[in-house]
Amino acid sequence: MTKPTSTEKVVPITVGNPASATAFVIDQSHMEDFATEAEENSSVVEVRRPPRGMYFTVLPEEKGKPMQNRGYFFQLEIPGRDPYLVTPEMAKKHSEEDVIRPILLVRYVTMSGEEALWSIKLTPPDSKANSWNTSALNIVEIAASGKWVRIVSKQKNGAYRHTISKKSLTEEMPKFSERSFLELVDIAYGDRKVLDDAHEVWTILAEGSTE
Amino acid sequence: MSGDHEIVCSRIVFPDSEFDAKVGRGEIPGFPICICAIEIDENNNIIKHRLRAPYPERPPWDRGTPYLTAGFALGAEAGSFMHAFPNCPFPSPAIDLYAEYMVIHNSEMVKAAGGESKQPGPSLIQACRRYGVPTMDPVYKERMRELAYSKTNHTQEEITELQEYCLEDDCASTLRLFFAMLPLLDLLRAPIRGAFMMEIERIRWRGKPIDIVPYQEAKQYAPVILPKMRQDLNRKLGAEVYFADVFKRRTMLRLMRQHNIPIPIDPKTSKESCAIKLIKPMIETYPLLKDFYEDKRMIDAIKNLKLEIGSDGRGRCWLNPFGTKTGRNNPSTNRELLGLPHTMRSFMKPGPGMAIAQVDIGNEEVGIAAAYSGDPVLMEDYQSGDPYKRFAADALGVTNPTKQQRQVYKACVLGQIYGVGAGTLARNLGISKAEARRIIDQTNARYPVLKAWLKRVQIKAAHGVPITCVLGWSLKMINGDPSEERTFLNYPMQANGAELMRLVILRAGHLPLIGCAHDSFIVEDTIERIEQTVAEVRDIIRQASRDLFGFELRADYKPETDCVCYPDRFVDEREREDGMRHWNWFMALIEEARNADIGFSDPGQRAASPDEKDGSAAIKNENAEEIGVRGPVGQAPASVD
Repeated sequence: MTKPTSTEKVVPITVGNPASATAFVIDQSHMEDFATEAEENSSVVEVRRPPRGMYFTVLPEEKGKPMQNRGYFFQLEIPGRDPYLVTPEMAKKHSEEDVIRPILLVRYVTMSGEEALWSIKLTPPDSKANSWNTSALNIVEIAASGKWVRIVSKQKNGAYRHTISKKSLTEEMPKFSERSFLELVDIAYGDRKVLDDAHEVWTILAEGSTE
Repeated sequence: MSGDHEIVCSRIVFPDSEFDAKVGRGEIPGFPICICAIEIDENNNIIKHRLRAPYPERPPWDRGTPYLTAGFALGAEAGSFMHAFPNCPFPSPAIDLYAEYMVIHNSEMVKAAGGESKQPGPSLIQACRRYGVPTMDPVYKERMRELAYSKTNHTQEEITELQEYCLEDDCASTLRLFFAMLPLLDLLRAPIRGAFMMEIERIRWRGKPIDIVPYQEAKQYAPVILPKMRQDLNRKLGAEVYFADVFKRRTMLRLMRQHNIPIPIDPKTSKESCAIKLIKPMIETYPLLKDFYEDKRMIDAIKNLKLEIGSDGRGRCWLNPFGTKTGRNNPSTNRELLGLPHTMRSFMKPGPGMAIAQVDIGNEEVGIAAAYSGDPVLMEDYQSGDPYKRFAADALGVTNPTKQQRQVYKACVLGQIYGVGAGTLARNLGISKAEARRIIDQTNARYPVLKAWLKRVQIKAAHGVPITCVLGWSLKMINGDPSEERTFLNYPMQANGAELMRLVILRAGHLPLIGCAHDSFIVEDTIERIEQTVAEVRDIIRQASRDLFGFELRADYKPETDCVCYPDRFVDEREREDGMRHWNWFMALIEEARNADIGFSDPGQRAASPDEKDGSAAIKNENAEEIGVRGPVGQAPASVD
């Protein structure tokens, strides 16, 4: 007969009482141990209207601190291609191109934590206001006043409708990333930022293609 | 921690017994030829106990002071104790080294099986080898087993030989294994699993009453009815998916294409597949697939019917506790009645004066997800009684959503918990990907806290550290592939559900439980007592969920549908909703085969298949009596309490 592992006394031994299972419950908050260490950042930033099925919010812009959460830009759109972002200088220089128009880029985050940019077209000084764009700007201001809002549907009169969630921002904290607004813009547009005349977009506009 | 929660054991007992296990025969294991134990007493001395029939009233080591029982696969010893010491409760506290091995090595066993399933549990010899513990020669063990199994009238010399083997090999190996595993044992929670292992053996002992005549006829006439079932399925589908009795996968895939049914891609092979498990989420959307799914499962099951039924007409099968990576039981799908397709569970039928009832943990995964994520809306929806209906009603702005609308939101909520993407959801529901994405967005907007919690769980799993459940069951990520990532999304719900199942079984040991399948519990009692028994089971489920999760899960039971009294037979809820058409079709085919066998066949009368709803050949009543199937059904369970 083999003795236990050593000459050490092995009894008494203390074990759990199976009738007291409740006392041995392992707190399941450990499942989230690593959550704070891993903020998820997307390597792409989408430029799209907030999804209609989901509440979103935006941050207000502080006075004297522009380009923190939104900014005015010029966008150049060519059918079949992703839009380009054009600096004001370049937009002015190429003002004859009717594919360039002013936009407001707004950073927003959905209730599920998806962060993206909303590009709202602005009415050029010599044009008639577009009710889609006007309603979109209104919705941005409502969201910026500290509300979760959701675009509901398009109406026959050509404007967005919206609903406001009963949940406040303190009940459901918006999860904006640590990235700055301009970082998001950089990621979103990548090499489609037009900073000078050397950019390929001018060739595309002039000749139809670079290839 | 209070003293009541811990037990200081002044002694440790390592019992083992030799008996005819009657493996695979559905019988209660044989009376123990001998029961032996090594005891380490208060002074660290070793005492050897050798018992044989007639056994004393209680084991000699049960002397009043607390002692720890440690065994390997304690279910076997639980059986011997029920035979030899019928008036004694199971020893407590007890640690089952088999269960602890399954807990400690879960991730390793899943990895060894390739990640999808899990290696089978070890034998005592294998476990000893894993820990480098000296153990017995397998040839010698086999010889001793043969001696124990081959006869009942052992001589005194043979009993002595078996006692020596039992004590010096099995008990001694278990003792050595215990000390080798001791540094890894969770001594606080191991006794919960030890008690569960013995209670689950009690459930097996009780067995399920099987209506023997139709079962035997199903086996007997399987070669006759199977070709007819295959022909019927071909006819229903309008294609020869069975050709010369062989299933033709390519024909089925072609048929799906013809009907514009999207074909799932098997994540393992990246190839198109019509495998049953991939088709299942689509059956509510595509009626053709529902026919295929139900009928093919029946055909496959009938081809290989092997229920383990004892001479008393009761089905008893090893429930393979801890057999899956989530810690759920994993019994054989053709030997255990509840492993059969739900359309065939009506072989279970209570005997005279008896009733069978089923209690389900309502929407278990959703309830656990609500509890742990703390999502207030999901908790509220769960507590409403039908979270899917409530979500559908709110999302669609209707008071009473249709069954189909509810199904869409059910698929989406469960899909989030199972990590289903827009593409798969669209395929399962027959909607566009954009529409699926919109519904997923709705789900995320409604349950943002749930979504964030699931993400945090995934983040932890991605660190390759074990995710440990409420009573200690754990698993860690192995290779991080997408299917494994989905496993971990769902793992907290499945594995904690398994922990709940174990606690319920442990606490319901005094009640006549005869089965458990996933989130449901089946009890058998007299017709007079059944409602009281059900009420007790429901209380236990609710209390156990409060104890484990701090949140009460529902224990669903409707007397009008979830309880059957003799002479009716058990009917699964889904088959009942389907008007028992599969069962009736199955019984009609058996009758047809029987009549042909005894020369009464009427070639003009063919058994109507389940899709022929008012076919006159279909049996109108759920009871086999309607088709003349009468015969003994399982007897009331032998008392094992």
